[in-house]
Amino acid sequence: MDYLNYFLFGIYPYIVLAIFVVGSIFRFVYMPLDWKSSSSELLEKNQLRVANNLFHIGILALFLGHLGGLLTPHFIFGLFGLTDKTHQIIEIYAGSVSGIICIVGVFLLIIRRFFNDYIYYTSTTMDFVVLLWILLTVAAGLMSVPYSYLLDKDGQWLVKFANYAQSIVLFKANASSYLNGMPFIYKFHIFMGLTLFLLLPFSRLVHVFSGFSIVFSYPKRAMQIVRRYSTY
Amino acid sequence: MRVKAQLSMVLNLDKCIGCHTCSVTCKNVWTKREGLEYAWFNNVETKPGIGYPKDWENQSKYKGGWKLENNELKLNLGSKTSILLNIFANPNLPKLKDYYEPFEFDYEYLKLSNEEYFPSLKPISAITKKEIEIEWGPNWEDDLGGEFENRSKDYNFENLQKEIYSEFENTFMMYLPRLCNHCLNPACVASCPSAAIYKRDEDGIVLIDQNKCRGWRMCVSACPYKKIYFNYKTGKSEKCILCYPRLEVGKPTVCSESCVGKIRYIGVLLYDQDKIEQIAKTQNKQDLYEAQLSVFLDPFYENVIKQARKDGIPENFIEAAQNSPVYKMVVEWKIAFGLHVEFRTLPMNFYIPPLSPIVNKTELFQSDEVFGNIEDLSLPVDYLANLLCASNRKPIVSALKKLMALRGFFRKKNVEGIIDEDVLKQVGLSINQAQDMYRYLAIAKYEDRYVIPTLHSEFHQDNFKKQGTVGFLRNDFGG
Amino acid sequence: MHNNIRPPIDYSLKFVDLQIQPRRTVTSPIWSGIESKEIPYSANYQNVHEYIPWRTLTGRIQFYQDHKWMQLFGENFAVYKPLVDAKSLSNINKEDNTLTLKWSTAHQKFGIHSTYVDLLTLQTLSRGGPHIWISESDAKILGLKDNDWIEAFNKNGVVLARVVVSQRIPKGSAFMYHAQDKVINTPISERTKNRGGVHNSVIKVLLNPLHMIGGYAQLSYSFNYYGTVGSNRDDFVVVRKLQKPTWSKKQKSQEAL
Repeated sequence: MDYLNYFLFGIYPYIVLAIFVVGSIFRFVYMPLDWKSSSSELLEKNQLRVANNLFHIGILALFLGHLGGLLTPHFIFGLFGLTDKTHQIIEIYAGSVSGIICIVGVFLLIIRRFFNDYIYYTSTTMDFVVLLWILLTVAAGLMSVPYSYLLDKDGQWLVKFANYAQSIVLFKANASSYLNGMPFIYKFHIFMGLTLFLLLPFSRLVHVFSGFSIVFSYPKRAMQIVRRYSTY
Repeated sequence: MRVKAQLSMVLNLDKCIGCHTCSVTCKNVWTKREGLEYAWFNNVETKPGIGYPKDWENQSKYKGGWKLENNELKLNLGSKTSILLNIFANPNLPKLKDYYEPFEFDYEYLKLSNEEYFPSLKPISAITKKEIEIEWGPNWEDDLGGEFENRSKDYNFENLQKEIYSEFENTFMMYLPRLCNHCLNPACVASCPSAAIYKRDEDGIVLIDQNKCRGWRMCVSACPYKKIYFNYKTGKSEKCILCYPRLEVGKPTVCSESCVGKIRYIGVLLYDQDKIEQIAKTQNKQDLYEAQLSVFLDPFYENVIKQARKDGIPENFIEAAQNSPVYKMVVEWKIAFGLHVEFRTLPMNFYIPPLSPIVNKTELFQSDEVFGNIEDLSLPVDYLANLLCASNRKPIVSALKKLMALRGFFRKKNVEGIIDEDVLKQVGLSINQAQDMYRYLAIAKYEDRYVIPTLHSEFHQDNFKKQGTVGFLRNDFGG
Repeated sequence: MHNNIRPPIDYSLKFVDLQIQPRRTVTSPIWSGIESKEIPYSANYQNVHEYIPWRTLTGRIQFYQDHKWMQLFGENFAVYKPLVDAKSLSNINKEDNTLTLKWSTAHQKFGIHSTYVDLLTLQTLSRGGPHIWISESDAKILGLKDNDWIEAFNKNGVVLARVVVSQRIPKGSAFMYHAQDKVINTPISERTKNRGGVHNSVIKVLLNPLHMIGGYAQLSYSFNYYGTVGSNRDDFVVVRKLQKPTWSKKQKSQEAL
């Protein structure tokens, strides 16, 4: 069991990261035609309007929340006078709200994808996989909230997860030991979340990169673009 | 002054018979693929009608084109921020049903059927492969099919007493072939968040870089002509490419080449790039036509030629600009107009307005009253003005009069053997000009219609190495 | 006659041109237009400009036909004649909400007779199946909207198609472009218990003896189909709205096989 723990949370993250980085770069460089958001809005618009906005707002909030909450060094919270307990409560509320928004969105998207003929027949297997995977990940995340609320009295679990994430990023040995003895649901959530990064280069999720990049590039660029023959 | 060259097209609606050969050949070459079944880079509409996609001219619905706000040119779609905010779901995107649901037939069933009756094919959806009822098509209003009540939602009926045109006796119609206008101030380029759409420097063709397109769908809404299509299979947008592989080697586009009525002309226009922004900001939309004309440069003027050489325009482009049929029609004779200039994209396809039967009793070419009354044409001038000149009647009337005078002059010359210069003088044409117009509009030989300079791609790249590296491969899409 | 066979003056063909498709360049007595860079193409060019007589009795374009049969039938000039009542409506029960319309079967836009009509592209550009054009006022009377199913019938047969309501059609007539085959989108008729029919289902052949005149200058007989040319195009039909088209995928019984 320890070995499995070590593999899944000590080694697997690096496998995921390696595939994530190399795979994304490979796909961007060698398969640019395939790099897209795969929108189905043309085929179905009304359901998408609600579902997609909910989902994206939710998942962006979750992503940024996880990023800030887990990777910010612990002493910075101290600088702002934020105790672990208050931090935990903030995370619980913010996470639940954005988690619920996201899961409602992704649930509607799944219904739309399965029960709308136009979407169903133009979907690839990966589209289904990705949606279901996100549903499971977010659901596991939401299910872990009561555990945190009830069992983690002083916010120390949160510190542990942050330490775990930071030691993974900083290549520290024995990162997985932070997760020893944690309830299953957390581990499941972490595994699912990690695997999402593994799926990214192989699915439509690559549009995440483009999405973040246009936020910075589009407002800056000139309205009109002219290119010379020799440049393409 | 910065001189640029653009390959642009003139469509002589006076000769369009609405045969759809252009649409069919274009479809066969470019859009007969999964994901683009519903797309017609070139389509022919019967006007008055709401067109394809439904009601495309109505920008309060689709938010295409530009608007002028406090003397600033802004996308109708909204600011860059609001475009980015709408990226998850674009409220202004046309639905598939606004185009039409592509259908097909399972022809094999005819052979394999074991039906009790003579077999007949029900249409099936090209997307779901399930049986559907056909409700709309790319050419549903062909030859005025459909109730007047629905067709008269046509945006061009603005400011017209449209009820009288519902009567059988007052019926009028015209065909309008439409393709990408390769605008000077394209709204699609401005709206693309990933900067995938660009205007080609050499010949002004607006293209979508398929390697950079991420499928944000903003261009589809931003194009006021709805001539960008979202490929639901590849997840990227596609549009008319003006058959650039053909143009590069000096051949006309497929739609032009196949045109039965010889209505299409392709030629080079030289324009001043520095002026474009100022022109697109013209306050009064009725002045947009005149303003756009002022962008085009006289290819015979020495300073222009000098500057063009300085700006790297190749000799063969300058020569082509001098022989350009487009320049003659648009700038010299002023008989061709951009479609819906009020969208402020400065469209670069031009339409010669169609003449139509005289419905009144007025004799046409009587001795002193040369043209009869222009109001006697069955096709109301106001309608044409709304369509082609942002409701500015004057240029349309003058163009129609020129076309009528031309007919009058040549009728007299051929039937009575009289050369009547007065007919021409009333519309400000000389005999030489009239003969030129006759040569281009009536005879319309291939060499006169298409004056296309070859693009020297060998200066830019190693063509031998590039062989076989561009174009679509089926395997490129998936996932 | 052979004098006007001559090579083109201002027209040259390269080998490539011939590889693409055959070209007509030589003028000929059987084709009155010519190919030239100087004039737009038009029929009868040679007759007009080179004084070649038309091949009629008088050598001119001739409207008056002095053939005896023509005189007997009063048709030696083009005259208006009302529609022949072919008794197609006799013994037809006129139900409520029906209209009797004049039936015309014109040449169509998206096909050449029956050729190309079942092509997907052309079906997409037209209406994706057989359709009948009727006027807006008639549609109002029948309670029809554009794209509704209608049934047109008379003693001769039934045709089912969707309706195109248009202001271009004069009141009192129904147009159905001919040879829109029933292989596409045609339901089962309740009346005949068979597949819905084509434009010809509601008309029958009428012989016009004048079309059989032969051997008299430009009046020459040639065999078309069922005798003479199609003078059978005009008839009357009763049109009504079809509430719900019946479709059947009923298979043949095994014994029938």
